[in-house]
Amino acid sequence: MVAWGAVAVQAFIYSTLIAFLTMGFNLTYQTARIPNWAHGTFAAVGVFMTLWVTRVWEMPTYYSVIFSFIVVALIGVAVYLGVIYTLKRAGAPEILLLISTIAVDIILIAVLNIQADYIQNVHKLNSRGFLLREEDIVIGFNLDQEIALEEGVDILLNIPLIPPSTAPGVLIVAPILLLGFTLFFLFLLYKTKFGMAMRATVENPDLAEVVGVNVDMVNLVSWFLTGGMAGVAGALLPLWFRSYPAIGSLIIINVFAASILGGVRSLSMAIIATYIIGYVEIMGTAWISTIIPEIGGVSTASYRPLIPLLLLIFALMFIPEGIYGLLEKYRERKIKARTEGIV
Amino acid sequence: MIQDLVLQLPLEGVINFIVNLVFFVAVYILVATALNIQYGYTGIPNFGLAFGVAVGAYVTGYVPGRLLYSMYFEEVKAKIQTMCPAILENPDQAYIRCNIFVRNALNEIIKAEPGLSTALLLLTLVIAIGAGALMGLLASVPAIRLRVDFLMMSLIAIAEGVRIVGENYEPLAGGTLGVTVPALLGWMEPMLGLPRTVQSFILVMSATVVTMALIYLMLRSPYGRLLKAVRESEDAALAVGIDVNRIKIEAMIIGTAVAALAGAIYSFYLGNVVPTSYTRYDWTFWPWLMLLLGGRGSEIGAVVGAAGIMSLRRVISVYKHSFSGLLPFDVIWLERIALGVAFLVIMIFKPYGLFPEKPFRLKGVHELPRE
Repeated sequence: MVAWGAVAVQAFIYSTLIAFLTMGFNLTYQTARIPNWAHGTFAAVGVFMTLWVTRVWEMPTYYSVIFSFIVVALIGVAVYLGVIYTLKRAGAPEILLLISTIAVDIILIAVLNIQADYIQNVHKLNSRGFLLREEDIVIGFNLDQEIALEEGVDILLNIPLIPPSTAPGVLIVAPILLLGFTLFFLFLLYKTKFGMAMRATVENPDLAEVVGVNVDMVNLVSWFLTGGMAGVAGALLPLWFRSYPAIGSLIIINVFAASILGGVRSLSMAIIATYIIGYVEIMGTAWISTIIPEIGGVSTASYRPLIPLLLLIFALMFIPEGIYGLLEKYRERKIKARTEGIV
Repeated sequence: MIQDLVLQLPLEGVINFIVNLVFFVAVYILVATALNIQYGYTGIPNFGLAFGVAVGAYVTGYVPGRLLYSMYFEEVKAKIQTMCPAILENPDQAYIRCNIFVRNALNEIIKAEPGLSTALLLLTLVIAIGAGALMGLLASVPAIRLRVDFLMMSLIAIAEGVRIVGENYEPLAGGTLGVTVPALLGWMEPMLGLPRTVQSFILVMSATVVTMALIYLMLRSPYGRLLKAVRESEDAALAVGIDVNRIKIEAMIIGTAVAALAGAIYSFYLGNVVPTSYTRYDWTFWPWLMLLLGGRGSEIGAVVGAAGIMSLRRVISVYKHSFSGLLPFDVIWLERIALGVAFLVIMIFKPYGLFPEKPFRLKGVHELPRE
C-alpha cells in the first residue's frame, strides 16, 4: 500500500527545491554561456551550513537560509572571478570553461568532505547520510487527513513514512521562497535598467558589450544571485532529504534534465520541467516499486536516479530544443498561418 | 629523508611496488589514449570515460566466471556444498553469495586446462571490447549531433547511470560487494613455473603493447587526420564531404572499446571486480588530467601524462598513511583538491600541455616529394 498523498507531497518538496537550482543553472548558462557543473555542489554547501547551524552552533534552523545565501553567493562570485573570468581573459575555448566548472566541483566536494570528516571526528555528529527533519519548524494545520491515516514507505529513504498530521515548515517555506525569487527575477529582468542589460547579454554578449553593457558586471551579479539561490535550496534540503557531501552530483542530473527538457533559454519552462521530472521520478519509483519490489537483489528504489537520466536522453533525442522551443515553433507556425491568409 | 623511507621497504616490497607501478601505468596509458582518440583527436569531451572502463570490468566479472561455473557445475558443487549449502537450492544465487568458494574451486580445476582457459581469456577480452564498442555507440546516439555542452552533459549522465546499475544490480558484478574473476592464466604456475604476478604482467604488457601499436597505426594513417579535421572545424569537414556525425560516433566506439579493454585487463590483474571502485575520479578525472598535462592530440602526450601522474600517485599512496593520524580528516581529500587545482593550473598556464600537438607535414603537400 502506497500512501499516494504523502508521496505526492514528497515529490512537491523535492521538485520545488530542485527548481531553485534549475532556475539558477539556466540563468548562468545564458549569461556566461557555460553550464555550471558545480551548481549541484553549490547546494551541498548550503546543506552543510544547515548542519552547522542546527547541530554545531545550535541556532534556529532558518538562520541557515540566510547564511547559506550569503556564503554560496560569495562562492559563486569567487568561482566566476577566480576561474571563469580568468580563463575567458586568457582566451580559453568554451570546452575548457566547461572542464573548469568540473574542476571547481572536484575541489568543492573535497572541501565539503574535509569539513564532514571534521564534524564527525571533532563534534561526533553524523555528517554522511544525516537527516534533520526534527529540526524543522512545524506549522500547525492538517495537511491532509488521509495522509495521516495511511501508512507507506518513504521511497527516497527506504524508511516508513512519518505521517505528517501537521505540515513541515519546508513545505510552506520552499514554495514561498521560490515564488519570491521568481517574482524578484521577473522584476529585475523586465522592470530595471540592469535587467535590460542582463537580457541583452543573454541575446548577444558581443553586441551588448558594443552598446556599453558591462557584461562582466552582469555575469558577476548573475553568479552572485544564482549561487545564493542554490545555497537557499541546499539549506532546505536536509530538512526533508537524507544528505551527504556528494549529494550535488546526483541532483545536478535532475537539473540538467530539467534544463534541457524545459529549454535552456527559458526560466519558466525550466521550472515546469523540474516539476514534471520530479513528479515522474518520485511517483514513478513508488509505482514501479509496488509492481516489482526488487531488481537484482536490491530494492527498486535504488535505481531511482535512472529516471531523470532516461528523461534527459528522451529530451535530447526527440526535443533537444526543449518545451520552450516547441512552443516557439508552434507560435511561429500560428503566426505564419495567420499572415498567409492576409498576404 | 626520502632515501631513508625507501630503504625501510624490503627488497620484495620494492619489486612489488615496481611491478604494480608498471601495471597501473600500462592500464592508464590505455585509458588516457582512449580519451586522446575521443577528445584529443576528435574533440568529443567525454566526461563519461569511466563507463567504458566499468563495462569492460563488468564483462570480465560476468563472462568467464559464469561460463566456467556452468561448465564445471557438478565438480564445483561436490567441492563446496558443505561450505555453501545454498548451491543445492539456488545455484544462480550461490554464485554471488559463495563467490570466494566458487572461485577457489574453479581455479583448482582450470589449472589443468591451459587450452580452455586461454581461449576463455581471449573470448572475454573480445566480448569486453565488443561490449565497450556497443556502449560507445549507444552513448553517442542521444547527443552526438547536438552542441558540445549537451554532449558532455549527456555523457556524464550516462556514466552516472552505468554506475548506478553496476553498483546495484547484483547478478551483473555482485553489486557493492563485487565478484571474483577466475585466474585464467593459473595454468602457467604448474606448467611453466611462473608465479601469479608474472602471469598478470605478461597479460597486461602484451595487451597494452598490441593495442597501442594498433592505435598508433590508426592515428598516423589518413584516418587520424580525418578525426582531426572533424575536431578543427565541423563545418569545414562537412564542406569537403566528411560525414561528421559518423566520424564522431566511430571515435566514441573506438575509444570506449579501448577503455573497456583496459577495464578488462585491470580486473584480470586484480582478480576481482568491485563496481564501487569504478569511480569517476579514478577513471574519468585522473585520465583527463593525464591527457591535459601531457598534451591533447599529441602522439606521446597521453603516454607521458599517464606515466608521470600515475608514478606520482603510487609514490604518494605508499607514504600517505603516515599522515593519516596527524589530520582530523582523510588524506584522500587533499589528493582530490590537488586534482582539481591541477586542472585549473594546467588550463590557465599550459592549455596545450607539456608536449603540444605538432602540426603534421605531408609529403607532396608541405614538402616536395623526393625523386
